[in-house]
Amino acid sequence: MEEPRIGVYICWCGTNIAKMVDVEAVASEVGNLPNVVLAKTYKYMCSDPGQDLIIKDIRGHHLNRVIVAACSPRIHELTFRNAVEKAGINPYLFEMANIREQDSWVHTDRSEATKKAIDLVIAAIHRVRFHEPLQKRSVNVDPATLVIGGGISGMVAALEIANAGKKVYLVEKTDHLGGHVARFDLTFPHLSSAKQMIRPIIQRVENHPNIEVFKQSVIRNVNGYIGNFDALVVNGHPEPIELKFGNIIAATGLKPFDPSKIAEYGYGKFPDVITSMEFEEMLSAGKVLTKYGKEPRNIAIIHCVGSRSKVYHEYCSRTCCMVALKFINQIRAGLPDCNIYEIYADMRAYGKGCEEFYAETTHRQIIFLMFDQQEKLPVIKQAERSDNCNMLIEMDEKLSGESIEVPVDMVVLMVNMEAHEDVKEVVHAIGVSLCGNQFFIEKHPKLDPVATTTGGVYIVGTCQGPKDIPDSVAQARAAAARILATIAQGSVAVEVTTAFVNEAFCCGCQTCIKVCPYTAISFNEVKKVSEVNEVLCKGCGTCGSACPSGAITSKHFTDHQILSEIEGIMSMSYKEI
Amino acid sequence: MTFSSAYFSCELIHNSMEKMQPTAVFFYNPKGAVPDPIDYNELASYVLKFPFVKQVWQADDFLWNEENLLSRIEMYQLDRIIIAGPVPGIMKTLFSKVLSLSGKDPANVILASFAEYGIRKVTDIARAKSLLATSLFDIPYEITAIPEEYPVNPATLVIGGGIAGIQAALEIANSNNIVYLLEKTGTIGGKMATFDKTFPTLDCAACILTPKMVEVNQNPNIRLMTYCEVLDVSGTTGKFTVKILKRARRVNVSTCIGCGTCAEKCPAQAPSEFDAGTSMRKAIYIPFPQAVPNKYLIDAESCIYIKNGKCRACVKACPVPDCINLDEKDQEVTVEVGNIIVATGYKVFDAKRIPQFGYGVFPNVLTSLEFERLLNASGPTGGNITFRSQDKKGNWIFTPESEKPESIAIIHCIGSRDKNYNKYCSRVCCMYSLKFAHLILDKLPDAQVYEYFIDMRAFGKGYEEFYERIKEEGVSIIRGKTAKVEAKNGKLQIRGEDILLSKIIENPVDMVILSVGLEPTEDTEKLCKILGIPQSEGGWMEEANYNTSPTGTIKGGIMIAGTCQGPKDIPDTVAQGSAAAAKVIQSILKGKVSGDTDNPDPEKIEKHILELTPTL
Amino acid sequence: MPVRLQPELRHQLIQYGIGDWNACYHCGTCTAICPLSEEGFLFPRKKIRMMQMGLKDQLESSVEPWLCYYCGDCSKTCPRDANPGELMMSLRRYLTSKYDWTGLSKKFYTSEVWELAFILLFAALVVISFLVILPSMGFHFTKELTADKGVRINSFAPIHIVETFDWIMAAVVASLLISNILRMYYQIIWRKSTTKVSLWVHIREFWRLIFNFAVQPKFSKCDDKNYWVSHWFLMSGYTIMFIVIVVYLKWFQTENIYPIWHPQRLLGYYATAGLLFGLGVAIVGRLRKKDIKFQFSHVSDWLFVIMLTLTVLTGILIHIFRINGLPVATYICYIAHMSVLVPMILIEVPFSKWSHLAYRPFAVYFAQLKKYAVPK
Repeated sequence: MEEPRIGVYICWCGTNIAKMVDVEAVASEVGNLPNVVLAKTYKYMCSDPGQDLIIKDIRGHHLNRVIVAACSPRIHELTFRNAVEKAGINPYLFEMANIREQDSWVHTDRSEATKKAIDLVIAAIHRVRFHEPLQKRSVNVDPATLVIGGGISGMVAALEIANAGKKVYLVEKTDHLGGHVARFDLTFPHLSSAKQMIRPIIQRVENHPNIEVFKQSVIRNVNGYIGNFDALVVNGHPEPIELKFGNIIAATGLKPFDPSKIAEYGYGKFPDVITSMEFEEMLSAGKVLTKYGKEPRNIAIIHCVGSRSKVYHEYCSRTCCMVALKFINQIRAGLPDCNIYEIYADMRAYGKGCEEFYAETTHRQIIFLMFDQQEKLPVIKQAERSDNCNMLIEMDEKLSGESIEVPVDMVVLMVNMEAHEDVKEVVHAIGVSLCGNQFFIEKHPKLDPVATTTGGVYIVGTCQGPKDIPDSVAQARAAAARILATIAQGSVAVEVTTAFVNEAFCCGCQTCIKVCPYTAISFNEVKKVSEVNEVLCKGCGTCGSACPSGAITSKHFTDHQILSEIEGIMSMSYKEI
Repeated sequence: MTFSSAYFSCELIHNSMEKMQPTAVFFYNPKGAVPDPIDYNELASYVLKFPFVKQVWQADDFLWNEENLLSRIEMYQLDRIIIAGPVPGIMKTLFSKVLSLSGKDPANVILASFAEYGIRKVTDIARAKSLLATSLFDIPYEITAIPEEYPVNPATLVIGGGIAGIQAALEIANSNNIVYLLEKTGTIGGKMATFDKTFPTLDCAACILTPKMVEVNQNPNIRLMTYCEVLDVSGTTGKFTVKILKRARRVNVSTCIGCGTCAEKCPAQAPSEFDAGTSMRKAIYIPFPQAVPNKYLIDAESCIYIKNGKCRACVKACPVPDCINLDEKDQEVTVEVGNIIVATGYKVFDAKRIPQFGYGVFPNVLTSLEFERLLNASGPTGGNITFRSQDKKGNWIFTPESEKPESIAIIHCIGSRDKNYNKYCSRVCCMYSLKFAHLILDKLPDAQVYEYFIDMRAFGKGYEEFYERIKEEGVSIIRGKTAKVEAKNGKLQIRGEDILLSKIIENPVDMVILSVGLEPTEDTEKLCKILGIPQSEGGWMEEANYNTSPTGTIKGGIMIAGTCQGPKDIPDTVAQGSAAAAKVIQSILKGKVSGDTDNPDPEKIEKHILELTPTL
Repeated sequence: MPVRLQPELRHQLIQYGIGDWNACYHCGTCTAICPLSEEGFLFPRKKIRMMQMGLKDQLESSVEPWLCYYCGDCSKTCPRDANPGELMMSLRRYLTSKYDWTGLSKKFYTSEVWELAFILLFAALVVISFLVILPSMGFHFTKELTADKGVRINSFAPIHIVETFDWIMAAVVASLLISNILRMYYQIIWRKSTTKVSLWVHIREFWRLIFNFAVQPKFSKCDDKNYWVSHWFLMSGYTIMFIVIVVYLKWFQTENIYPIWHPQRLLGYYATAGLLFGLGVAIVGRLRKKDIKFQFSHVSDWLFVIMLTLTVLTGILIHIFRINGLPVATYICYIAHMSVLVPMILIEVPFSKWSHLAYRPFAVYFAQLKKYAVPK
């Protein structure tokens, strides 16, 4: 390794840093440390003149290491890496010291802040000496895509990609496409027909030249990494079909909650206590009738069945309130004289046009009753003959403070949407993780709602959490955008600062395999050592810290580099003592 | 066309004219609050030209009850009913019921929803006819009314540099295509950049947003155009020519090193837009430290030189030669693009419009946006919650020095869910108010925090859990919106009703935060006219189809994303940003973009239907 | 014991006025904005909730509707189309009909035909009594009508007969009102109540009844004080007239015309002015419909205003013709006057809008009693 020649640049960041840190003092302090060739300050290192300064010095003074002490690396590390690369140095021979977010912005004593800045810069100097050049790598992307789930999200995503002329494999567990939406009668808030909406989508998918649909099929042992996956489609046939594809979209959806778990509602005990899905079917069939085949004179709709509860599911199912309001409008149309009781906790009409729909619906002579979905659930009882109704609901009504009894002939339970039991298999197959509620976890809850921690694997629609149709569709398209972009690129860059196993030290305990969140490590039975798949590895370092024999190091975060950094940060303080 | 027929081969037989069941068309156009200018008689005569249409009914023909319908279905042996009108779905259940009672297939009720396809003007009659034609043959409108496709220019214009615009721009740029990212203000970042933390994960908005902003700056495919506005859009689908007003920044973006010397010397002050007016900035300023581009600009309204020709302090101070040009004029530039994504975002409701809550009268009644800045470490108070005070010049601003409040009330639904202001729900207020409650207790552990709400709308992933968490943190969350804020012996007294305890609340607090709703930006209407896309109720931009195309519009090659389409939280906005990008990338890969869907030609569609039904 | 919901109650309620209580989503704004709503007597939201759920008993035993003076703030600030102010108004109509045991009130409120028919009936009776009954008792018009004898009102309308009639009428109305107020008392204080109020409290708080009858202090709490002022003038003018006509008719209806400063005339002029002012505000308001409280006028609202106006106008005419010595005109106007006044008193006071002159002050009194109620 050639003698390090380090150039140090301290940024004023206008007044952001210079106001609290005496940048010149820092420069002079570090200027004459070993291996430091030069130490300069500049108003704005990130500005073009600032970058040019670095490039000139690298060429002029034959620097082979560069340090910029400025803002957070999250903001400008890339800027400076590109700059030094322009000047012909490997970008990983650059190090950044954060003296803004971690220093000038958070301190009020100028001399202390200056001392800290010096410490941080010295640390960087110590570290950068042991930096090694790393090479950028990228993998090619197979233009085909696998979509798991033939609900509306899956189909929309598939169409979006297929219409761009790219191959899509759509795998559906059941024997028909359309998912839950196909079972709905109308959609809220515009009461347009769900069937008329879903039909053209199904037909397009089934007849699309670029989409291959596998019904009654499941995906088995998915292997590979972003751009290059392969898997088996199992659909009863003796020999499963093998597929190759570059990206995966999981759109496996949700399933309705089983209300028989809730004793108070007596679902299964009273034949006229039904779930929202069963009621949808009644409405499509145009037959809203009690088990005696009579038209109900009183219908109650109970919200939050299995949702927003400490006992069942804590989360809100997001759509039930609006579906319930939709039901009201439909009941009113079919049974003009029927008494309708809406038993709710909070009316969540948040979507576009939904609050207006709610306001409109209140004019349909509904009795809205508020209950506490956590404290005391309403109790459904068999009514006496004298009550001349089928059942009685006993509840504490919150808005009036009365404890009341509601005569009803039919009760519709707005059931929560929960994860499929077989979700674990999918998880295992495609290597995504689950949150506490058994939904797939997105890469970032705010800024990356459809990607996952595994490159090339996306989650859309309700498998990521309950959602209404427009939001699911938007997510489906969002995933399609990502995939189309990578396909257009033809290749994707993969992580450089990965972990690697020193086979000589590896004892084969396989601890690393257990802790790796990206399933990037496998065990080589022949050599009896762990091996890192450098494409799957994200360089998080978990394995490195877990490895008992210190066989694993992560590039750019070697023990040597870290320790010397610490040593550097301490050195200044030593001097003072 | 042919390509869609291929999809339809399966449909052909049952649609043939002979097999076409006797049908009644019911125009459900009740005399409602909103006048319906559609000429229903013309539509009636239109559908009657199809032999299998036996009956045409209008809303006021007879009483719409079971008996009447049953008898008519018997009389004319009807098998199918098509309900057409603004919201036909409202009648669907009745007709399904009647059909099933008369032993027919209840699925034979077909809706031709005018609202769904944006049919509401006299001029939409052609679209109405096309919709009716397809409904009559039970062929989905989407399949037959396929717009023509045009060759597409691979460059894209994204209007608005908020998180939605940034997301869309990055997606497209990452597919190796040129994106012009147009931003009205001096920096990208939009509203999200002004927030402190984001619910429910409480990660700091700047920390997750600024890297994306930098990415935009560093992406070679993105042409950033800040301080610009769209003047006009001409050309045809696939190759738009966009005339853009490049407002005079008066600072040379390429040479400015952002040293800030100019701002130090500048004598003129104005309320900072970025700090929602809670602090003052100079006439020459950078909106905020992480602005992208991180370059200064001059605000003509407050600049002394531009007002009366004297000063030039900034020019004298600037270390870079000819960097500042106070006499720079606005310019017009044009760009050629194939697709346009609109992501112009929202503005907050003006709380002054509701006098009862005393915003603008009492200095310590704040809007949520002001409070976001107060909480923000980079805000005027460095993240301290303090009272509003007057500076030497008499401006009401926030400073870290002034006193801290001991009790804070947060009032929900200000300007939302209210027929006197905005009917719609603003979707995010409940959650950001809960977030406020948490952050207040975080900074002032002994403070009393009250939330006054109507319905708690914690609908998103992890939101309900967050709500539960806030409840346990000891915030008093009270059902009942409250009606007014009055000054009473040095405090702000809130009068309301506690709905659940049915008690009158007269609660004196130190500070009141009004959770103001979201509204379309001032220039939404203008932009909609320029682009030729309609506005939905509430003034938001209207999507092509509520369910299946939330980010498309009736204009080919024009997409909408984020809060300009309706109130939305960040994840949903980001998803829409990417979704809009999907259509763009798709059209570029295909080399073609589909045209407008707002004005299909009924003749053509009938011809197409004939193609699909050869036996005719 | 849980309360059974009675959705069918709405079919009764809707007959008493407009307003869609189902539109209310319980934000609590109306109760909070209301200057009169106070602890223990919360309205309008609480009452709207009872209407929504059809809690009949709670509604009929509630005093709050009478504590509302309809300043309209609630309706102005209501975020939905619920219109709380008008709902409270309708509720007062409903309660009036519930207090009234004859059932006539319900008829009058729910059918214009009934109300008009009764008005015309009484009017006709008055006219007949003047044209047929009095002559038959020896009061011959032909003699009286001669101009030379001037206007001889007391021989045209014999003072003792008119006075006795007044007393009878007053007795009838009073007995009706009192019986209804007793029913009201039963509903509010006794029926299904778990508390009782001591006799001493009844006595101690009685002054409130008088005080509220005289000045309506609650009404003055509304932001717009003008309504209270105009209402007070109307009310005082009416009361004075009522007293002088019923109690001191001999002193009020005299043959000889006193000079203008004579208390008889001054009192008369004050009362007339007061009535006209109050009526003016009401009529203009109801026609302009600008202020929310006047936007929705029930038939009963208009009938009351019109009849009272006619009474006043005919009264004024009588006076003018009398002092100008025009017998015929005077007598005709007198008949007209009586034929409006009598039905007005007999219908409006016990059965319709005007009954609030009794119910409101009593409601305030009863509300006060409730405050001091102790568990049984």
